[in-house]
Amino acid sequence: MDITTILFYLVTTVIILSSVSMIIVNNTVHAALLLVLIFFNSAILWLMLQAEFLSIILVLVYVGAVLVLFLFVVMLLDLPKKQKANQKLYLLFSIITSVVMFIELYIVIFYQDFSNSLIAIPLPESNNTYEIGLMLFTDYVFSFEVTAFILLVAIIAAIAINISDKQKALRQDPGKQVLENKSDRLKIIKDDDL
Amino acid sequence: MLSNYFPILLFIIVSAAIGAFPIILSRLINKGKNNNKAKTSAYECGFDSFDDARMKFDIRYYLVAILFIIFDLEIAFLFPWAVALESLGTSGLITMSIFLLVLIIGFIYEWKKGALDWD
Amino acid sequence: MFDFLNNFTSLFTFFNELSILPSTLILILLIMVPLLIVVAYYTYAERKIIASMQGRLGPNVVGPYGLFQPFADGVKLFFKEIIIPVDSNKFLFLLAPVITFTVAFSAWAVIPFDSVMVLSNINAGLLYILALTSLGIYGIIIAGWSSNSKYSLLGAMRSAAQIIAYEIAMGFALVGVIMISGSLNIGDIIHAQKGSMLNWLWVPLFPLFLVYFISGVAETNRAPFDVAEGESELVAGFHVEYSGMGFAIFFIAEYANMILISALTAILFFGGWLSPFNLNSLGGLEINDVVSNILLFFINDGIHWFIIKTLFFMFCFIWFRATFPRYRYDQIMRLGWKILIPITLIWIFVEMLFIYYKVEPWFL
Repeated sequence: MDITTILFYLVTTVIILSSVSMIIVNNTVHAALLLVLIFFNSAILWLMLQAEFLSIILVLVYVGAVLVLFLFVVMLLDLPKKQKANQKLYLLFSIITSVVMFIELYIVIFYQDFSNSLIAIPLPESNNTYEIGLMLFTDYVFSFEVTAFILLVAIIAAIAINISDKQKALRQDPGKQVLENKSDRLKIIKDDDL
Repeated sequence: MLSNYFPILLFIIVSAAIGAFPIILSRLINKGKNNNKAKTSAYECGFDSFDDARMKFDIRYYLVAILFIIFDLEIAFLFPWAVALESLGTSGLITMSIFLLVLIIGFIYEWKKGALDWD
Repeated sequence: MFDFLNNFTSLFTFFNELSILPSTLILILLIMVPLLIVVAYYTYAERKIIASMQGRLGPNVVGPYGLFQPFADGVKLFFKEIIIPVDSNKFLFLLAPVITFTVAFSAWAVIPFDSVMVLSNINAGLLYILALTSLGIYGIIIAGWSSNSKYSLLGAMRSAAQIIAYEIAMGFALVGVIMISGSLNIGDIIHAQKGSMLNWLWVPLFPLFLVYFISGVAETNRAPFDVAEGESELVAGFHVEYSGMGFAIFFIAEYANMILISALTAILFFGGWLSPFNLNSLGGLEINDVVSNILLFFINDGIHWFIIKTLFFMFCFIWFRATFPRYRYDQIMRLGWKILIPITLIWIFVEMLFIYYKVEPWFL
């Protein structure tokens, strides 16, 4: 057993354990932090598949941005710590869902013929980021441009949800502040004028 | 390639250990003896705190975080583009100009809607 | 006469050939230990420099000129108790400073100190640094949330929103750098700046350099962007509940982050270990005596240039703190979103034009 195999089993164990405990833990902030651990370990797995660029992007986008949003949401909502929901109902649905998913996975894994599928062999001395850039901006350029519109929709949706048109608090506008002159604000009245 | 990342993994582990070691050692040496309420309560200028400090927050923080994700994704797209720029030539410049212009429209919309204001 | 330096670099390559684990550990400690010493004396330098700027003496009791002050502080903090506030999450409370510390130091794994002195020369070096700096936010959020104090939580949320805003500007500025170097490898980025000081990237990317450094100051929560720990309103922000070693680790991490930002600015915009002089233009120099030998060594590329440049930016951090009044929070957000991000976006388009018209010598 070489070191990469040991690392693989270590990483997958951490992923499985933290996924399970993520569902079990009561505290939502703890759950979000366990998700950080899962993503971090998944990044190591991707790295072991030679996907250098994608694994660091996984950390940058998911851990660095998406989960920060999760943490904000969890903190914003201020959930009561121990919420006794109708646990039996949840249990019923979760058992049904997991049985269905298990059967589906079983069918996919054991009745699918994987022998003919293409296996991507990483080039030994290739620059991952460069290859992705080359592919993304030549062959998949249409999908790339569509992404821009999807992101635009996301921006508009986020603003539509969050911004209400109600009167805002008084605010200083530095752009207007610097345009003020002394003569607008200050009037000197001498004794003679009185 | 993996062999290049091994020192990084080790570096992370070592720096975590160097960070954790003094805290653990200091906890072992300085056992808190006199844990009265005045000592361990959260600092609030001498007043007793009303309730749990984990309160609700302004929705603006949520909005900022969403906008951050979108811009972070933009950066994630810009990185491979900048690396492959030399090989892409002029078509690469046009592609990214369209992408950025679409997102700049979104940015102007944010600006005009006041999503970037903080009051 | 500078054989020992050659020996030192050959020591570096020699260690790589040894069995990998112990040699890597030694290399890591060779980076970490000097860094920790620099952090210690950076705090001392800050107190001394600000003191002279304000016409005071600064620390001058412990040792000659107060030189042992950082160690006295360290020992004192070590023997203080870490008070864990009631209703806080004990584990997370103690974990937060460790996360901040780890993130602050791990980025040094890919920093090249010299043309050969680099621990790990990965292809995606710059991306790795950007990803790591984006993780720094966790230490702050966790510290603020777990200590169950209103000041901590307010400071943490402010700090998080601020870091987020400036990270985008920072990322766009990095894109500008990569557009010229065409590589994420930090060694390649330095090589792309070869020549004299006019070939360094600060000339074509001057606005991006300013944006990057300002964002760096804001990311480290330093003055004038230190509302997260503005004493007058939030006492100490996210680490108000920390005492003893917990506070010390946060403190060390903050200074390590400042050194990292300084080093990165020196690398990305000021050529890292490159010499500011073009050696080819000095071609006719006669080398026969010891003095010109020493002179030539200092003019040549090397780690000393990297250290000098980094020290300059480290000084700027202190200078800012002594000079500028603190920004108001809405002004900080306005600067990040409405000024720095538009500047970087515009400059990316300007760079596209540079590339299209092949402006020499930076765009070939």
